[in-house]
Amino acid sequence: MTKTKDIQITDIHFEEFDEDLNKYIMINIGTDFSPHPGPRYKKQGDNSAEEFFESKLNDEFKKAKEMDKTIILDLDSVKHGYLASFVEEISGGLVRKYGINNVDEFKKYFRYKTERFKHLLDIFTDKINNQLKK
Amino acid sequence: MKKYPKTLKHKVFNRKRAFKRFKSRQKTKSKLKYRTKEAIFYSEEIERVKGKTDNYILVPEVFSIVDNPEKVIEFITEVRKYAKKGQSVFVDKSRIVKLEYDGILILLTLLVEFKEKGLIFSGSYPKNKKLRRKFRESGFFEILNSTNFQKRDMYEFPYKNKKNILIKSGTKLSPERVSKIISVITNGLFGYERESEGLNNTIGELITNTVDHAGNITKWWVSVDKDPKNVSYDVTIFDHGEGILKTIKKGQKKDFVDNFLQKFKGNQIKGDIELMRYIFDYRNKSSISSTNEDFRGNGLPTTNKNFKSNYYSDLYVISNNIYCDLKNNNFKKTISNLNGTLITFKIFKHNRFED
Repeated sequence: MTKTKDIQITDIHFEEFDEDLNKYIMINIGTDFSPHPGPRYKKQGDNSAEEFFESKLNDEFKKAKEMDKTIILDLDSVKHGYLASFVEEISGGLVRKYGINNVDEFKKYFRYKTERFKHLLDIFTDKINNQLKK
Repeated sequence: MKKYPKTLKHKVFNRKRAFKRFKSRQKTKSKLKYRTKEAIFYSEEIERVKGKTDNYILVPEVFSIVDNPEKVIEFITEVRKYAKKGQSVFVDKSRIVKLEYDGILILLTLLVEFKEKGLIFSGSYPKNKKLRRKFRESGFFEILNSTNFQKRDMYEFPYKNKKNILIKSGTKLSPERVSKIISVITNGLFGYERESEGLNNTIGELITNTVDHAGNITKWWVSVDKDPKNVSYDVTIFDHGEGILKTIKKGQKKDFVDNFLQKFKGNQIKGDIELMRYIFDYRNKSSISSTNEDFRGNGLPTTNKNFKSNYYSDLYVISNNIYCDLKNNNFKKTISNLNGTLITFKIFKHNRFED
């Protein structure tokens, strides 16, 4: 049985822009969605991850697929941070939602830009790897 | 025949004396009026109890679920029993000697439950002056005496004359309101706003848990209270839902829970305690959620993780018949069963903030 390759922090942490800016689709969660991200589902409360997917990410992912671009999720402009369930949705949830099968595919479509929430990258890799192994 | 002095000197003297006596009488009268009001209030209450117009319930002397869980849970159960029956109650608070903010929050949730059902929730003041003031400041009596009380999905009760103390409730999570709570706390402690990822995460996740498991009809309640010595804030999150263990046991992960409890066969108390420990252990690879989705169940372990990361201190959780003192890692069983969950912690200046 072959062991699935695990995603690493360096695979998902976006640090520098390439010269070709057209390769990226930038989404700043704090300014493009809400400075107060909420729970997982809409029924649980305002500014949920579900709402984020519906209002923003689904369309952008379609574009990214069609135009072969990478989505950069900028995490830093939110006020107090994220709820654990929102964190799960924007990491492991991406694998479930968009049917991503392996590490390379994830790297191709998603990266996280952050200075403030670097500690979340560890959690992201965990959640993504958990979902990829299923 | 009596001789009335008619000279100017006497007239001035008489007028002055009369004015002094009038003032003195007025002063005494106002005091009397006040005393009479209190006395009338008290006697009316006693009459009501004597006449048994309501169901009489005595509030425990130590009214804090953290300090006196058994009696307080019994009290909640008894009061809610009458609410379910559609009967009014008379709650005798006169003998309270210790009243913590979790106690005020509990009374407030019960009062709102009765008001929403159109039932009378009457009662007496605590005899202790300081506690009476604490009650008055909480705004409890404004709600109690409001004639046009309207049922709402969300309530907000800022404490009277105290900007730093408030009680909020709702049926859904509003992240902006959580942010406002953090702003009140940090402004109160430091005089300016600070960020707290851990507080945001914990309060948000706990409210979401209530929304998920206590149902849309049951409200979550959050009370934020400044310590009288101005050194800390008490945050209490409460709901009258089903409680953590009950929800987990009947949830879709029932098989996992049954297998877990099987190890403690013959010792249900230990089983329940260990299950609660497991639920709060953030180091577990697989979390327990009442849903069958294994990516869920982050709320309670995160609450403990944020506590260990020093975002807050003195974390207590009381739910169903388990009392958890996470500060001392002391989990114990209570005889009485709380239908719902109460989580409380303190925030000091020395706790962790992001900037």
